[in-house]
Amino acid sequence: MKKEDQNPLPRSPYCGDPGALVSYLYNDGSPDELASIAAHVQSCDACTSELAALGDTRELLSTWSPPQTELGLTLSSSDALPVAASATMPVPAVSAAVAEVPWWRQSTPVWMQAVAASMVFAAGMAIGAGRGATPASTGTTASAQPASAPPATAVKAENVSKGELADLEQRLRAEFARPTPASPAPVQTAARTDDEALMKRVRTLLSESEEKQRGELALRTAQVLRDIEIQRKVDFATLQNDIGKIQGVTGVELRQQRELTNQLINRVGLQGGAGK
Amino acid sequence: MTWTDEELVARSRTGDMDSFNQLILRWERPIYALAYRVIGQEEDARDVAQETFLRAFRALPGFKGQAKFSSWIYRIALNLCRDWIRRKKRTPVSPLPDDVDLSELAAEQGPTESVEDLVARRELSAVVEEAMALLPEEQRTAVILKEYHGMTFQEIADLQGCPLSTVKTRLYQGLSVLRKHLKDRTPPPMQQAVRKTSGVN
Repeated sequence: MKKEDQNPLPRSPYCGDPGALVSYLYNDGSPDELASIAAHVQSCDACTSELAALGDTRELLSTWSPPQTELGLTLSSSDALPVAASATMPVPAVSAAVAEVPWWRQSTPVWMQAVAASMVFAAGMAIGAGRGATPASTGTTASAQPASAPPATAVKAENVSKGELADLEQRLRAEFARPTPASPAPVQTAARTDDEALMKRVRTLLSESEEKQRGELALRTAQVLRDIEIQRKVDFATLQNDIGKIQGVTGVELRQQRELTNQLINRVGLQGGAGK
Repeated sequence: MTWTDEELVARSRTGDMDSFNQLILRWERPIYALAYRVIGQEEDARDVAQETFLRAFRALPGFKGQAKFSSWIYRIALNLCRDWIRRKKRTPVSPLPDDVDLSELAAEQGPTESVEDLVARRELSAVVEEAMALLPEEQRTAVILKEYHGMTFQEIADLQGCPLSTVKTRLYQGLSVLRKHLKDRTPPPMQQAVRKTSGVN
């Protein structure tokens, strides 16, 4: 029965209002509202009782905890990469991230750079060799020709260049046929820089991993120690319980034997008395 | 030096993986706990937590800081939990342990807690878990966010996308169902043992 029913005060709008009860229960609301609810609760048995029951329920809820599993969630470089970050900073090479970056913004692989450089190098060599071969093959004819005689020179050069072109073609084919020629110096330098960065990252990851493993080992050791302690306590409790039971049983048996003995003595006494 | 969430988010947005891993370290336990309590499966909860952070990392460029990082990450986690529940098409009920696992007990035992109290608390935890599984998803989520994550009604309303009054109603209804179920399932001695160790007022 409500205290309010005993006096002429009007029924509070908070009485039985789930929102008000919950606000008061969790102390979540404006100070004025909470003060008004508190004033009502103090004068209302039903709301007081309801809040007490809800408070008890909250106490029980507090016992529920998720399993204490080792999580160790981390994102590695193989995970996704924010698109906005890709253009501004050095980021680890990631497969998933590549899919989000347009192809024209993706970095060219080292092997492709090496092949391209070797092709340029081979072409340059071939052209250079071609230019060097022309004066040699033309000999003094070319040098003897005055600069003011272009038609003759052109004819000579055309005759020579056919053989030279065939030679150039062969050399180019040979260059292209090579598996993967050694990269030119700039590419090697870039590759070395990449390797150093990669090695540095690998070393960092290794040290992080070692540190993590050390932490996990310490955690496991602590857990094992606690396991042993808990097991010891449980065994001790079980042992005490068993001993108590045994003692109880032994006590009952002793009492029964004592009672039986007393009965026998009494009977013998009675029979003796009757015999006399 | 301890960075705030906002600072770590800003650094992560420039691609600093370590900063984001610090955020993960800071929030993995609450997110895992939320996922576990909502979906009730240990392994799946772990997967949801992992996926939450992965999605958050991928969505970082779109996160402009209009909300707190915690609210944002909770929203992602809740959406994933909702997806999981829809996918599984079932009420999340956790298997109740038949006996007491000592290794788990060891991890849970407080410094001054006796074995008897610990066993009682463990049994009660299973009963609570079973009771929580009876609630509809919205009520369960509201209770979890309020009871175990200390969110305000307004924060829960924002996360659930409903009016504040609805949150309060869900909480009241949820607590009422729990109260009835727990009253039937927990003997007074067990409740007393809990009160000895419980810190809830």
